[in-house]
Amino acid sequence: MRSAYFNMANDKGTTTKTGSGESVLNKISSPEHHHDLHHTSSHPEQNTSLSTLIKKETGYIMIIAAVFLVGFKVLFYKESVEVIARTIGGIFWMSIVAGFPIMYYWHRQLNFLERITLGGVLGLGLSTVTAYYLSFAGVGLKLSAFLLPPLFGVVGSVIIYFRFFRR
Amino acid sequence: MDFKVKGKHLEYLFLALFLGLFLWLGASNLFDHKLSHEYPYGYFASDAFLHQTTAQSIKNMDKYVNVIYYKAAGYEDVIAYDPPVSGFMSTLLSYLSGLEVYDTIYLWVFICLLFSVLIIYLLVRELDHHTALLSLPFLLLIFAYTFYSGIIYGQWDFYYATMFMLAALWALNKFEMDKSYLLLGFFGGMAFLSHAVEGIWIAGFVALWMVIKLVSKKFSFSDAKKIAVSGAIGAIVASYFMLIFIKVWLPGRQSKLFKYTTKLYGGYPIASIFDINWILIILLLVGIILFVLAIKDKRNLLPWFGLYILAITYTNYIGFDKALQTRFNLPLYLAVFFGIGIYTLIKLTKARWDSLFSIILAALVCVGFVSFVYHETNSPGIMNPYYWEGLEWIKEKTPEKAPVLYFFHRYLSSRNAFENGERVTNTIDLDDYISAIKKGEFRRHYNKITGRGKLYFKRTAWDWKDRNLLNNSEFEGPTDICNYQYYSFEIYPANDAVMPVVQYNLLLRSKLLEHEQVKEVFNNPAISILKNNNPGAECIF
Repeated sequence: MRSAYFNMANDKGTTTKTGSGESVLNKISSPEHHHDLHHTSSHPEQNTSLSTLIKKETGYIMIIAAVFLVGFKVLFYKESVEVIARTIGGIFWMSIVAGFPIMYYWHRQLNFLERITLGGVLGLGLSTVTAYYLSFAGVGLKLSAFLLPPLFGVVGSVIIYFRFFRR
Repeated sequence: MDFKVKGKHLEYLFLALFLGLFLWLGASNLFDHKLSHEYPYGYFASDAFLHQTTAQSIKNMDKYVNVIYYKAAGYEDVIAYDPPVSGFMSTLLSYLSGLEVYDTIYLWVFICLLFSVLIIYLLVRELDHHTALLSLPFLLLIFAYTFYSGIIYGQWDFYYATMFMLAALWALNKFEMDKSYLLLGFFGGMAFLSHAVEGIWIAGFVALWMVIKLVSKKFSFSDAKKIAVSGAIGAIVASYFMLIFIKVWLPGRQSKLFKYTTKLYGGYPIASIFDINWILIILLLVGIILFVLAIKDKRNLLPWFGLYILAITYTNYIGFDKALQTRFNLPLYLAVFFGIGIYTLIKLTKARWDSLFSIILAALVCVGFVSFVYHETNSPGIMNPYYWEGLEWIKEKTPEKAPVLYFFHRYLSSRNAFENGERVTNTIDLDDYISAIKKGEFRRHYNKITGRGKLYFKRTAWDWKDRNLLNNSEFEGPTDICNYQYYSFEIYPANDAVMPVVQYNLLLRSKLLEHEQVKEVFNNPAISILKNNNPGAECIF
């Protein structure tokens, strides 16, 4: 028997069941407001569903990064691919890497576009404000640039793990 | 494949193309289709250099506790007072990308705008996706008329803050969502930390929202607790800068309060909604009227926020000159009404309408807008390779505290640009210089201006004082030019208007070179730098 969550998750398109011709992008971009679903956070089917969602969306982020790379190369055609790649990488590092993982906290209420946009802004804020205050304590900005964003990514992932995966 | 799925694909494709168009119109031409430049490129006013040199100083110092000495008339105890976000974001990206800070700080302006556009789109999409799609073209106007001057003249902190302010608005719009108040507090705090004004605007809107909910008896004790936590988070995030704001920024503002003003500090162009085409104004008005009269679901906060900001942009008449700055982003806040106006009119026709039609119409309007939004910018702005080479020479070849005097340069009015030399900037007072030219005299004493901003230092932990108020004559007034170790001259008369001043520069330079102790140490077609090996000794007569 399918759980209530599974049925609702299907409505959201967050399961792996994809009919022929159905768009995953379409499915994940139609959030429903199922706040009560938090009560089933340790349900194995839900964990599977979230794992699947994370895998899919990691792919989407790769695609978006590639689109940015190509788009920037068109817009800034006098620039070398290496500089463009490093710049896009830096922007994604500070925004998406730092802020997107924690947005899975709201993966049932928010669609992918909402989470990646607001997660990006959140990541920029977290990376910047932490670097600012740590600099008072003598922590160098080069170190902050490379370490803080993944650190926030890991912290976000740990929160999501304990919130949704831990039995 | 059913059309609904196809429509969704098309919507995202259109959104991606729109963002590309947005960057092309805003940044691509302005940056000469490059991300890395040999010198600050596309800078058109002193404020742009102000933010750029502040960001560079943050990278140089690896922190922002005190203002670096060369931006503070040589003092090393001046409290860092500028909002730190743009400087830190650009420094972090500079390390990650290898780009110079003068490139990253400008690039972030456009990335912040991209995020702002996406947040606006997400908020409007909650009304419906047709309105969201049809609102998009109006956002392009951010690069048209006087609105664009906010970017190219360097009001940059304001764009960073707008992104966080809109993120806070988005979080408020999702107030019922579990823990969204944490995001509201964080984004609100970041808005304040980026540029206090936007933090104040969003705080005012939250307060207004609370009052309306209280009056309509929809504000619970639980909501009050959430707002309190949210406020506490915002205060923690912005804590240190809040102190700076209260001690350094507020004293100067109080005297302006409730006084009529139509000028933005620095003499920037004044943007107005009436700058845009009257047909668009009518469409906006239709959108506003339809929103007020016809849209049943008024829970979406974006249109209310648009009206709130529109009202705020006229508070310059009661002394809030920063309201004039907020006007630069009016297309962001009002785009929703453009979408509402068009889509409601379409609905009135009862025509069959689906996503594809909205996309086609939005694309056509975008194409129509491109004709007057597009700028073929062929100018690198104020800086050029020769000026930059001169400033780089001063930075690399002169001792740190060496006294440098800059005679007439064409970018004299963009005083902050000289701080790229990373020495205390003493520039000639142009009025006094012109008076000497008119009299045909060469003097040992000319009036100078020492570049500096606010010079607050701590007399005790809570007693902060501005040195500008203690001894202003130290920074402006007559100076003995023979006391300086280095002199920088512009020597290329680029146009007739500056010809007499450049000729005077050349004559004065020759006078200095007649003395044994003064030697030319650097030159290129535009700049000549002299070194005085015996400061204090006679150098003119």
